[in-house]
Amino acid sequence: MGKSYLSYTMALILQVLDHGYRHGFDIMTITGLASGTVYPALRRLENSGLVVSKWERPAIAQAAQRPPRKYYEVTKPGQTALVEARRRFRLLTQIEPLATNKPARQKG
Amino acid sequence: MRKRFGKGPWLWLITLIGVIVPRRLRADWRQEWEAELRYRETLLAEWGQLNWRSRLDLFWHSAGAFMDALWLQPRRWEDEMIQDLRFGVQMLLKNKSFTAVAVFSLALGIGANTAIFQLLDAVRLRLLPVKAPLELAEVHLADTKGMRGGLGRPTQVTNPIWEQIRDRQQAFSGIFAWGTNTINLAPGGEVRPARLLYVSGGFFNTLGVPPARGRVLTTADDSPGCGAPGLVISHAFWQSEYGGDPNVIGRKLTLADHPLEIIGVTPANFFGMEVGRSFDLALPICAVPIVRGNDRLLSGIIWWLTVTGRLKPGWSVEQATSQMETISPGLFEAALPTNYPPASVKDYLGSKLITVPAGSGVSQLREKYEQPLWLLLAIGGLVLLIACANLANLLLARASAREREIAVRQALGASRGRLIRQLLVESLLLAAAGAALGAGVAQALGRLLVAFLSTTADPVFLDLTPDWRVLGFAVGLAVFTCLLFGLAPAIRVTRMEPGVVMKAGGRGLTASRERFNLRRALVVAQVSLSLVLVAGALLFSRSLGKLQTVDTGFRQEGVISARVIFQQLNLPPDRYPAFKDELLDRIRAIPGVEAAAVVHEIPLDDWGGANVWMDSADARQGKHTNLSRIGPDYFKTLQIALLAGRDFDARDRVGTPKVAIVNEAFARKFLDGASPVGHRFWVEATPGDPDTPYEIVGLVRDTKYEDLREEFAPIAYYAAAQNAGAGPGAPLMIRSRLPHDETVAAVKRVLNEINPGITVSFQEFKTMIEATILRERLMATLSGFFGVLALLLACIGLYGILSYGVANRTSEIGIRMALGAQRRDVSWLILREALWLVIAGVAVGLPIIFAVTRVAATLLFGLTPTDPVSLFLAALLMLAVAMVAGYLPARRATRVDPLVALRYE
Repeated sequence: MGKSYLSYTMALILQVLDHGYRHGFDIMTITGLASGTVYPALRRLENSGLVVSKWERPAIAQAAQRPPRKYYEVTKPGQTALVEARRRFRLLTQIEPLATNKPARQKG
Repeated sequence: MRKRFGKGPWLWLITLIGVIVPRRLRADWRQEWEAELRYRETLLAEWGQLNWRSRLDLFWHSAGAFMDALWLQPRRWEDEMIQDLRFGVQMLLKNKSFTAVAVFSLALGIGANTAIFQLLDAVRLRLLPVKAPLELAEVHLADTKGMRGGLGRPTQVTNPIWEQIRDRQQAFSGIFAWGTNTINLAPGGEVRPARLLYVSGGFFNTLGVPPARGRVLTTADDSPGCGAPGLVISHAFWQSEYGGDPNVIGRKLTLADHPLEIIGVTPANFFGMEVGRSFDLALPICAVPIVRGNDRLLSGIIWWLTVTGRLKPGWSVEQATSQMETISPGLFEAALPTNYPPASVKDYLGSKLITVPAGSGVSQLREKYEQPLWLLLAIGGLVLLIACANLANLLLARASAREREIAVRQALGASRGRLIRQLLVESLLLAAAGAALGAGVAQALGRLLVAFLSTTADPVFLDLTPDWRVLGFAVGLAVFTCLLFGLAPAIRVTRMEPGVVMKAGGRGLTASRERFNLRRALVVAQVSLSLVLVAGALLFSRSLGKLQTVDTGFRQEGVISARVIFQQLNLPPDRYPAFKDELLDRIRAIPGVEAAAVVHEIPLDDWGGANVWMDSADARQGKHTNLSRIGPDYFKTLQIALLAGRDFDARDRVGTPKVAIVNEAFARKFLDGASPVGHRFWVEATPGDPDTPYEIVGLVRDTKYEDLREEFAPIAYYAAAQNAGAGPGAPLMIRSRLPHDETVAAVKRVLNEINPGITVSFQEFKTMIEATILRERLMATLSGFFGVLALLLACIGLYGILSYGVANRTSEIGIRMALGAQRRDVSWLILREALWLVIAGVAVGLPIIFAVTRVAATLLFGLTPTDPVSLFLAALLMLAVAMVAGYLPARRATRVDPLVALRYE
């Protein structure tokens, strides 16, 4: 993967992933981005090797009586890209990490 | 716990959108979205916030899945492409013979075309491998009216003119002159030629050619009276002569008795300014006196330099021309030689200089072969078209066999676009394989062509490394052919109603009249195009045959040319005539040698001319005649009949009244055919001599002079021994009964006995003449090759359609035979079809021939482009091919067993 600069949106998604918001819908909630933006961005990040996707353990899903969810994690190259992106987009540094392991609660 | 909800509308939406997600990813994709939406749904329910607003929100989120699905679309195409490719390869491997025929014919077609294009690219399209070649422009005289003396190419100028241009021009940021000649590197014996490039000081700097080693020549190297300056050698010469020795700089090379120091090596890709030739050594112009004598620099009548410059930024060629025109009058005034022929001074002073683009260099090869090569490219293109028609036909036939498969797939929901795409992928695979193989064919064929155009006297050097243009051409051809032969069958086969095809069962009864007619039309097209090519091939080979058997007036078999140089012996000039006589006597004494003579202008190789008029007329009525300076026994050597008077002999020496022998055409032109012996004619003054009278002492038969294609022209032969200024060389022609090699060895031995310092170069006269019709030979050979290829392809095409016809009509034939038809009748049934196809093809082809062969008129000798013999033979050949193609199917038809055929029904 050659050195390619992330767009602000991509960097933002990478940042919130790094902070522990691991599911597509959580990212949408915390960033306010539309699903039509977040998902294609996730696919691209995954294609570039900056994030990996994993399925949650079926046991958890079964307990909740729903299909297993997919979650995303930032890879090593992703971390590097993020450090670089933070330097360019200072705003990213002001996003707070997820305090607990609980999903973000939607407002309103 | 929580309550189970029904499936929300958002989940339906995901299921729906999932349809467009590539199948490979679909399950995962749906699961991801579903899980996410369900999770969120559950969460909202837990928080008690599952109201209409949050539901709308969920729906809105799920609509975003559409964007996601769209983003995955390229993957689907990738998938299908791989699928199509795999399937295509499978299908091609299944039909090995079809694939082999297809790939082979495409490889030949694409390869031959690419090879010719490669050659054209090298001689015509490519720019010189120098810095910004498009800024280069050449300066030369607008016409040759004022040019007198020793002329080279009409675009060359004398050294005094070059010096004037250099000092007066304002259009160029850098300007230089260059000239070439060949020099002998061997100290004695057979010559070892090296090609010399004389360059003015600005040459390398203006062109932007850096040294590969050492340094290149600069303005500082080129100053008048530079004596023995440094020498730059070409990369190829460095490799061949010094084995690429890194310490070559500083070594000495002896040229014409002068040891010259090697100061640099040029880059490997630099071949000088002439496309088709390369150089070995480069010397500054100021060194000409030590190699070729002083007069070349001072002389205003030796035209040997080409002037090229780099236009100043912002200057166009037109602006440069107008500047040149402005300075022309003063320039020619200043450069006028004092000894210029008075009759030509006005024309000389009125000459105009013009500027033309020179980015692709100069090239005699280009002048001679550009037109034939374009023509050959067109011919090659036709062959490729025929090959495409053939393939289209084969694919159509195969498509009928695959009708059911395709109908089934269509019935199962495969879209038409997808099917066409898949069929095209197969064609594309064929085209790609053909192009890949064709690239190899092109490389080999290209080298073969260059070897074909090379002669020992004039080796051709061309850079044939494929560039983007050649690659683009080959790839373009492949895609074009693929569409040409693949698209029609693909469209056709998918246009059918699946139901109809499937109902028709496995017997292929759907081979509708319409489709069969398309195949017939393709074969007719093939036949007509083949006819054009075969007719062309016949025209060119008959033209070559006529040239080879044309009456030259002399007999070339058993004659060799030997150019003897004895400059290195340093004899005083007054000893030259006696020395030449001694040489000749010794050579004539060789057993097997029948005759030998001095010839300065070897027929068809060298030439000279002058304006002459008879005693009775005056100078204003001067007309052009060819000249030839020869010694005694010339006519005996070439077996030219002496019709009246005498040959030159020992009486004709320097100081005796000048005598001449003329040919019949001379007598016709100047004396209305009266016997010329005893008449006198005058030769127009040259810079060296005033008007001179010659007495005619003999009359000889007409011979070809400059070109085999010309009519017999007047020739005046001078006695070479009467020329006071003859140099230390004896260009000889020797007739011998011995084989070529033995004669050469014997002459070398004799010359070595006389003095080992004598150098000599040999050429067989026959080979020299053959070299003059190389272009015709190229056309005949290549068009013949293409003609045969076209015939072969037409044969395959005819065979295919006739076989198909027999297979299709088995039951009909069975019924006919059951009703009493004879085998002869049945085979006639098939052959008649072949005959009709060919007749239709000929009917279409003939008008094409009449329309297109006109472009070849200038390349033909002794034939009109619509030569009836060639056309008749071509049509006959097509008929023969039809019979050959029809033979097997016809025989198969006669073997049809009526019982079997009808039971089958």
